Amino acid sequence: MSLRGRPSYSALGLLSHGLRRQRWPEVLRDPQQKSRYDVVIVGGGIHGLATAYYLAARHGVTRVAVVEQAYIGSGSTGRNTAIARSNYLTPQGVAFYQHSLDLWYAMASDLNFNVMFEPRGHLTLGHDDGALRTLRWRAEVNRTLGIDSEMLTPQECRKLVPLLDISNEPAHPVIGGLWHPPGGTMRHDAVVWAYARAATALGVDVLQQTRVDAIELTGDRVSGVVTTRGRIETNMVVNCTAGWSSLVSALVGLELPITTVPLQAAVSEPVRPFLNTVLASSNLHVYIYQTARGEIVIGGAVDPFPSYSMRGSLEFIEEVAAHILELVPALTHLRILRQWSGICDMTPDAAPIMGRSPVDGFVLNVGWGTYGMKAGPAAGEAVAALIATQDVPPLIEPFGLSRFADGRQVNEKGAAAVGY
Amino acid sequence: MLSIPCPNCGPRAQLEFAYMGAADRTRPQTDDIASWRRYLYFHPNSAGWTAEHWLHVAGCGGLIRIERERSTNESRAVDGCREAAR
Repeated sequence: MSLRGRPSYSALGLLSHGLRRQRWPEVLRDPQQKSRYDVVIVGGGIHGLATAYYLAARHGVTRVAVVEQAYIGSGSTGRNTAIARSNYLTPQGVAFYQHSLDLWYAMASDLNFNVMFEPRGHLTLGHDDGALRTLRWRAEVNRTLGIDSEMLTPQECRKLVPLLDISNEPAHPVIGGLWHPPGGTMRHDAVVWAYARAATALGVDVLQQTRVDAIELTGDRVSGVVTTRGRIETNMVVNCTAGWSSLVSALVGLELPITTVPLQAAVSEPVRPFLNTVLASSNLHVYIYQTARGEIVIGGAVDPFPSYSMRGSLEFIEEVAAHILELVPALTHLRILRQWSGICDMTPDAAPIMGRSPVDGFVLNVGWGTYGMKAGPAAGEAVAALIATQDVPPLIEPFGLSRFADGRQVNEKGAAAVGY
Repeated sequence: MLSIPCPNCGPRAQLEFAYMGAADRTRPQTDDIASWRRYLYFHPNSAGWTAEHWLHVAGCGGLIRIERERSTNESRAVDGCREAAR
């Protein structure tokens, strides 16, 4: 099956093309920046690309540009640990993330691209009563919305992870766990390419190595964008820049309730398969899973100070290593291959900001903190619907910017990351 | 490794300090809720040189004021005095 005349990648197609030794046509052409677009999306990560794709695919809005300062997926989308789940705290959060999870399950087939989504389940361990209470709260909210989550005893946790230490030896023994079977992982780069290819095939211009330097207002309405390639006339700009959200919003004089904080991650050498699920610990602020290649992906809590720097630190490795060994002592000799960092736009309630802003024509798809990758599909779909139909989809209505002034926060701290 | 120039102890590793927030924030003088929500939640989140407070928990215990460039994490001392949080 080919996407609008593009070559298909069937086995027969690969074989015949290989034998003919021709160059593959470029799927992501580098288009000229046009002088006018109906929608300019700032940021070429999953949120920007998904918003562009759904505008074109669901609403026929194709005069769209995605303006990305570096290469697509170079920001947080290429730096996260690629986990999708819906075991959140609030009914609003759970409904939203579950819808996104539904889109993840269908994505490879919808976008005709192997995003390597693996529904491997998500286990969060608790080591004190407070943690267990929060985990149980999440399980119950999930269950009232018909989502599979349940509390496990330490023994049941060890059935899922045979190498898990559930003895009283560690400083913080495991006393229970939240088991969420629908959770899974994906290959983040593949997702970027899937959305970019699909959007491009529908006529969207993806402009890489192009930075937005100014956003023009006429009165209090957006009237244009100035990029490093020149001026674009437009009345709709969407901020999908995650860690850089405040800087882009400053271009229209808008301050956001966002703090940019680095989040680090690391990956180990490949080892024999021993871990079939994502293993997280609330109290120990660490989570791991094993990729199809056998490597252990490691994540933890955000850095303890705001920064736009994307450098790893020795403190991070020392801390996560110590906590991983409390959970799985067999990993003592595991060697770390590399570590990296990305920047996260943290909000006061660990919930995102989607919807209109006080500036007419400036739409927000930001505040994704440490929980944005899993949300990209649902956020892109909803923000695209908002732009195309002018109606706020009920799924994202609780996440508007006005909630901070109104005192209607959606408190997802405790479920959004392992850092709290 | 981020280095913080403590006026009492000299440049020390960031690990010894606790970040205490951006400096020069003025609390609202009224008890109007809208002003307080604005103060608590909204801020510049700038990428350049920003004045900040750090507490030297593993050192002298002093609350110090420095300036840090938030893209490179370079930091510099701006005054040699301990400063009470306002």
